Amino acid sequence: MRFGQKPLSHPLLVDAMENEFIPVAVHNNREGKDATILVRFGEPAWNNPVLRFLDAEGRDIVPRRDRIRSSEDVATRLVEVLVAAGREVPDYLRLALRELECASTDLAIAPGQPVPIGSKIRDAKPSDDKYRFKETALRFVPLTPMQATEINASLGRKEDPLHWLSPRQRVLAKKIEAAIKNKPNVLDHLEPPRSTDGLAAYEKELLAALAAVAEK
Amino acid sequence: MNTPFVSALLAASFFFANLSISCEEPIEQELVDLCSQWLDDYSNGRADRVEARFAPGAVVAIDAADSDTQRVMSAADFMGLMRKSLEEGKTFREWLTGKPTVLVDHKIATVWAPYAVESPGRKATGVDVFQFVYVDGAWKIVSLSYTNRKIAPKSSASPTDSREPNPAELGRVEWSGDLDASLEKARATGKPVLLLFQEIPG
Repeated sequence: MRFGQKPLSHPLLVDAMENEFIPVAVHNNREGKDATILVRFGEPAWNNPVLRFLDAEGRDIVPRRDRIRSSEDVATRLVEVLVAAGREVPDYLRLALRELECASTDLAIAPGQPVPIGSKIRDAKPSDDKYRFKETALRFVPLTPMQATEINASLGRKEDPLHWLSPRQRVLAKKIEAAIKNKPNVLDHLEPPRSTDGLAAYEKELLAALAAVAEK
Repeated sequence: MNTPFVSALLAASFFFANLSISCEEPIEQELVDLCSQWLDDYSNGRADRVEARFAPGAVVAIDAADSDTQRVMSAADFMGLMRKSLEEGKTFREWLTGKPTVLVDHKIATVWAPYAVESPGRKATGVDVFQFVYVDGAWKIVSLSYTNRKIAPKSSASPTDSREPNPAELGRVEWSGDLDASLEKARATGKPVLLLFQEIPG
């Protein structure tokens, strides 16, 4: 259950799985077609969750590995597979991995910098929270804390920050921009969460607000 | 009198009767393979092979479900459109996505098959209905009818929360349950297939 609630519900990992991969789920405790696939891939029934990554011929792109449990494990695996398959690794996925690595080692790092292995980093100071993106439509997009930091830094450098967004977030950003174009305060009642855990609930609230704007 | 010889004959006739039943299946499979091959030829611009599969006087009917527009044309006109599209450099790929239904009686047959088609910036699904007749030693398409429904690309789709909720074990990912169709999609897009084996309920 935890696997479904954590890595399979992390917003950026969900976006990566849906946009960079073709996701297929097989019940390992069901008869019929699913049981046939289990036999075809030599997977045991009633097992813990296993992720396999296949090319178009049904061959493993990377060797099968057990015990991939955490969001960080899954993010690492997604990046490994894209690299092995010769596919581009999108920035939002690299960023998600960096953020998860930091979370697992209690690190916080400066925007744009690689994670120093084994180092300890302080919590962000309140002064760091004055995001430049608060002046833009991006302030309403459901972002992970590190995405917000990177976008803020990109805006500070006068760079295009959109490459930090997943395809789903880009669509949301466009919708938000359209909604506040004529009525700048129409979404001001929304408070984007400061942690990744609250993003799914916030996105639901945002979508409802955007739908209400569209109906008017 | 049921002697051992008669019993053996009965057993043999029973065996061959069953054999003749099982021999009917390859015709159905042959027809499905023929449809897949035809779509492959169609997707890869092999116009002569596509055309050769039509019976003389064949027709094509299109039901554009999104606009509720129906159109009937001759196979010759259909081939004209295909060749024009090839000249314009348009590319696409169409393939069967679900288990086809095949009905055969003597020398006529119907294949009813869900399909998907992808071209740059556009995806659609529908059902292909092939009517075949066996003439001059080969199955020929007498008519092809198909529906077509456009699918908005995921990257530009309006994000909504209308998708069916997953069991908790599957998280928030929108999973497919059709591995073969997904492998076909992997072939068309170059994306890897992510295959989750999960116990549900777990």
